[in-house]
Amino acid sequence: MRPSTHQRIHRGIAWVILGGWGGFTVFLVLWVIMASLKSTRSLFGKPFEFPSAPAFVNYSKVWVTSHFGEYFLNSLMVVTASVIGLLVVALPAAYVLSRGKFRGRKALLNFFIFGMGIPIPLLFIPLVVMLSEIGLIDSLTGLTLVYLSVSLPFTIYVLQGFFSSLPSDLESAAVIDGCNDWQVFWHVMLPLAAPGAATVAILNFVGLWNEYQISLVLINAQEKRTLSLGIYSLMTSMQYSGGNWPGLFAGVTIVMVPTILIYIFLSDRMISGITMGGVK
Amino acid sequence: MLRSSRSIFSSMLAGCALAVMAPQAQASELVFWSMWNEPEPQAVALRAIMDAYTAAHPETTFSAVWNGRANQTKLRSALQAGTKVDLMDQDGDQLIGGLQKQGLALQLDGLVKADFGASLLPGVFDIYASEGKHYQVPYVYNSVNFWYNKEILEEAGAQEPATFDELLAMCDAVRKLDKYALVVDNDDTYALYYFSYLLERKLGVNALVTTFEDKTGESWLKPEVLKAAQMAQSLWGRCIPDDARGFQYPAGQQTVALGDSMGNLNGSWLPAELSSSAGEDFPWGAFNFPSVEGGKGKQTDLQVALLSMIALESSEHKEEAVDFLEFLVSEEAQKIIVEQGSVGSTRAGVAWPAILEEAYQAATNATAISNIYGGVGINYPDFYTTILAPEQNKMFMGQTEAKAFVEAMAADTKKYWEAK
Repeated sequence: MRPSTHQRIHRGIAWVILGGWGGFTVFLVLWVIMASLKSTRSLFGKPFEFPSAPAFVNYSKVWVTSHFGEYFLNSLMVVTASVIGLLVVALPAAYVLSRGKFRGRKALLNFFIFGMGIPIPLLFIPLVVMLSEIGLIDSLTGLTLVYLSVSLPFTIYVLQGFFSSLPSDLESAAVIDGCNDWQVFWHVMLPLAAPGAATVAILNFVGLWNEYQISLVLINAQEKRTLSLGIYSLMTSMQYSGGNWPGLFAGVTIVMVPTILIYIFLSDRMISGITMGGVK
Repeated sequence: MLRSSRSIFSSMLAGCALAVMAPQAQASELVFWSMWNEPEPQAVALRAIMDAYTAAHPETTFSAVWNGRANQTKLRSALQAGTKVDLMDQDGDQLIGGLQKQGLALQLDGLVKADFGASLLPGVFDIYASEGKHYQVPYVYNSVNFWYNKEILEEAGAQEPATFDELLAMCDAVRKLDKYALVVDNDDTYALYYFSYLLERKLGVNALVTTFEDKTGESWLKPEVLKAAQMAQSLWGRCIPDDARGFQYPAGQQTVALGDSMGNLNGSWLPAELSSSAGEDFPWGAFNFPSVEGGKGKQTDLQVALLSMIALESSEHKEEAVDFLEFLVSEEAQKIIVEQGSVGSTRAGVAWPAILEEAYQAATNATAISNIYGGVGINYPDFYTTILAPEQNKMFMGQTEAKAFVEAMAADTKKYWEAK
């Protein structure tokens, strides 16, 4: 059936808006990459011209002199460990909160949902005090634990919705076949929940990769900084010390690359995970 | 023989006793949290100063944490968690309203030498004192001057202006070159340079603070205040290009580096901030904010933004920390700051880098110094951030009339004090 004129107009408007939005986003990303290959003078003198002689040295300077190599590794370690830990904790918890029948289940779920509404700055001082007490302040282990904890409410909320959308007949069949609770979870429900798990893993990875506030408060030592703190250092160095603006854009590009790669290779899986969880 | 053995034995015992009783220099490690990032030249200079101190006092070593500009914010949380820190540095005006106000800075009176302040440039030691008590040792001098391209001024056939009328004449001369003499970035704080300086030239040093501290708000309605606002607005189109209203930091100041504008009213950090786009041979010049006709303020009065180091009240090595603070502004250490950090020194008689020569002369000859942006932000940050800075910016950018601005400030000031 051919779309009506009305539908075609609607579709056309949607294309213009989404195309314009997408085009603008791509333009900004390309501009940042272009800016990262210029000298400061040409960046401000000719902001929209392609660099005549790309200054790849901006990248090597940021990577070595501004320690972005170390920061990249730190971010990768902390975020990967946080996401793995998060899945290990959140998947069984979400499954139980979705399927379990026990008193207080709803209250417990609401408790987790409540956690999503707590502003991060309110946690600064309690976190610093607690981590100092257990000797994990200014450590990547401490940062990983905090990342894991603050990401739990959202992750459990999403996964709980996902588990609820899965048909219960499969569990019943598994129980009839002789599976115990753990086996039902491990062999039947977890594989079915893989798209949802992948979705929350990707969303958390991207969110934590760009996280700044918590790491700023908890991490001091230069060798333990994450990429977002590296960007912050570069930005603040512009005041008083001399602006290496192309270096800043090189740093931004380094931070962006993993996120963009994740979206390029895993966006289909993420979208399918979100839509599956959204339909009961 | 026996007697002589006894005598030797007694001497040895006495020697040992003396050795035990002699004051032993205790090894101590001073923990320093810094506003600089490790690769910055100022951090390199501070590291060299700490090394020089350790060379002279081998019992004292340093552990430095290079936090960057959010140093004070990070330190507050850390102190609450019981972290031990002996020394820290930050912008002096931020410290006044921060650690110093909270009683976390060590008072230096009685701990430093009586004539300590005399060794520094005029007004430096006193500017951040609270009720006559000193807490900070300013060690980097930043002043607010007009920073400009000497070649353009020369080409325009103009002179550095001493009065506001001469400033306007200079602008007219530069306009003939199809350039503008001045440029700004559309920013609440940067925009306050002009009005606050004009007010100080009209009514004298700290005029913005004293105007605000009149709890009736009536001081805002003085003709001089209105005139200062009108003079600030009059610069647009004549000195400052109208399209500068669209400049976001650092777009405006970069036009100076590119030769599109002649100058910028800014801190003495500007040549450093623009070094990579302006190049090493840029012909920098600097002059003070001009005087105004019939004004009480002098052209030699200077707004400054000094960077200070403090010892923490909770330090377990107060004596060593204070001794290091004194060393920090010694001739030896300040020469290191100038040479390796490429910044202005706070010590009298220590020449600044050549590029800052005119600012050095201005600092040396300053008749009075006051805080950057007129100083309201230090003691009244709530009023400054939410009302004064944004409203003044609207006025300066021409979104509100000068008269409407002063009337609104009078009403808001009265309301502010009534609510206190």
